[in-house]
Amino acid sequence: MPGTSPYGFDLDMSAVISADKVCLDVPIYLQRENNASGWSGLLLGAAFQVPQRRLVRLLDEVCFDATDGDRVAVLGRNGAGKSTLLRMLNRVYQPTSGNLRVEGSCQALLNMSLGFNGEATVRENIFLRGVAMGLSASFLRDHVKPILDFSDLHEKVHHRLRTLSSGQRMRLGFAISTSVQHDIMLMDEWVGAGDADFMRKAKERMRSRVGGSKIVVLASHSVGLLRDICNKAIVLERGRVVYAGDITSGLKFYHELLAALRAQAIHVETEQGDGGQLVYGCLESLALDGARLRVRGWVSGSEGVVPQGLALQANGRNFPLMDVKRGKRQDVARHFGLNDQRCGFDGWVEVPGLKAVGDLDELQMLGGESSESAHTPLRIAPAVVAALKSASRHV
Amino acid sequence: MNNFWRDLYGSIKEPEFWALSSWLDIVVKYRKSSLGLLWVLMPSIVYVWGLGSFFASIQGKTLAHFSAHVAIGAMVFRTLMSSIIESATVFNGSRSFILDGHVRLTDYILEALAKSFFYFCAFIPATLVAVAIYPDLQLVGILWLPFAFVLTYVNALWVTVAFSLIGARFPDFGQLISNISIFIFLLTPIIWYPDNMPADSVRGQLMRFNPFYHFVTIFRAPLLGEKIEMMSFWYVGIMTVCGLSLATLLYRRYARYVPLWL
Repeated sequence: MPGTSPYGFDLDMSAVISADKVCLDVPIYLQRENNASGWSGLLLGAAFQVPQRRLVRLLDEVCFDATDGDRVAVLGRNGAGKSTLLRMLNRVYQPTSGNLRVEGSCQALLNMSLGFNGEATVRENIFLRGVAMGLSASFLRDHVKPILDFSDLHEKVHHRLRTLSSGQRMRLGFAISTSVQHDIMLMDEWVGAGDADFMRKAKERMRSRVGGSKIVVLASHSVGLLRDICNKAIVLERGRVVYAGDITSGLKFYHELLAALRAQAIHVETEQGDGGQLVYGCLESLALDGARLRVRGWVSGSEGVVPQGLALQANGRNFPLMDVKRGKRQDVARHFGLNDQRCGFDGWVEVPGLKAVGDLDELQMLGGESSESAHTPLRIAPAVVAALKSASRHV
Repeated sequence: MNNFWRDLYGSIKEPEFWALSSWLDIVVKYRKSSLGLLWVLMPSIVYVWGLGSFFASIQGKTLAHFSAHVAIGAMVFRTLMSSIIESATVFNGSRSFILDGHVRLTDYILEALAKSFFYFCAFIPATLVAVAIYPDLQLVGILWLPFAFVLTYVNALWVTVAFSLIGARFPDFGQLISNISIFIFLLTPIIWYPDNMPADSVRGQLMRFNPFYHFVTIFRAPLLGEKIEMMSFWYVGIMTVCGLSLATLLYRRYARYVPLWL
């Protein structure tokens, strides 16, 4: 029967998410502040004090709507309520007050390597996870092979799950979680790391799943990714929706919010705990001028701060960018809603003994805090890629 | 709104998840040992023939008389007790499934019950042997068995609901239960006879206060022709009605908190 999912209901029904003044209060348990001086007081206090119960509002009058075709980006600092909101949409947390309507089958890709039985075999776990997702056993029997193909675990099928490496477990979890198309997809960050071959397959599958979903809600710090996929955005701050609308204005609002918080000297902490931010950008032009390479492009970071470090990687070595001039890039700033427009760069790299651009092997443009610590590869513009290709062919 | 009966009906209609996950839990536990599933029979053999013959000689009874008494007592006790122990940790153990969106909690409750039912079945071979050598088996007791079984499991159901919710809120609750389980075992007339505990003595009161006594008695006494007080039927009947109402209320009030507690 065409148009029916393995769940037995019709796929042609439209999907809807509608949140109206949704609040979520959560009881948390706090230890009382310990004023004890000396060891004995501290130890006894820790042992005998009863935690206090207090209600905390994690989501505060959240309102937003999404219908067919919406790709919603959820922006916000750590602890702003992004994951809580996704769990609420996945019907794990029930709202304390307000109305939440979610229509359509829902798949959350939140933590894919969890939810296994470590002592059971890979095959048994495929069934376990599958039926937990609500798939029928007969449907799963036909899908064991594709799942094993995708995760490349055929020779492990009768091994106990705990003997798998964390990477293999992630692959398996991903393969199971994305094995069927759902109406609504909820994602917390993109797929984790894996080997290059798997990542290529995973990206392809994600693109197709995102394409096939009626609604996608994606929480991520990767501005470039959100810009690519989403058409709508909501910005969360302390559990409140402070912005809801189109993606361009949403990113702009988010960057302004971060800038405002920085101005108040509030530590803006996003995903990278080590003080770094997610760096993204593009290498747009590359030209050999005498003995030096002229390198131009733009770079920014997930917190809206332009990273200062830039380096070019080629032939297995890193070359720092010198004499860098910063320029305003209104086109980029508008596209990503950046607060700081001075994200363009124009600098020089000295590669000793370089005769032609085609000699550059495995070229990468890296961005980061400083040119020494720069390690995030930027996108390379198609024009540069084409130029490099034709140059190396001539040689 | 979380409706216990609606969820329960849903879980019974779609048993794949809880049936598979409880079965896997049991199977993998015994997969590690070379004896495999034969290990499951060990506790019943130890209880009925080991403990049984030891305490039979202490109390001057014949093994043929005493082993059936121990076997049925231990079987009912273990079924109820393992429901309680399993339920206290079942939500925590299924944390990742719950947080991943599989939130029909009755699935996990039936998972705990399915495991306890498995332990019940594991007791059957030893119990059958003990009952077969019992000299004066009562026919009326055999007819009564299905009812006793249903009563036991209906009560195990509400107990599992209540204790699983408590266990989700207080993660150390499971440990407490397993710690006091041996005490309750000794307090229940399994390896001794309730006859020497008259209702007007303090010890007799204490024994009658213990719910396990009544559940064990209504299961065992009719079958073995032992004395049964009318009070036990009342006790179990009232427990069943009150317990199911309590479970319905608790589920409605607290089920939504479970993902937050985890």
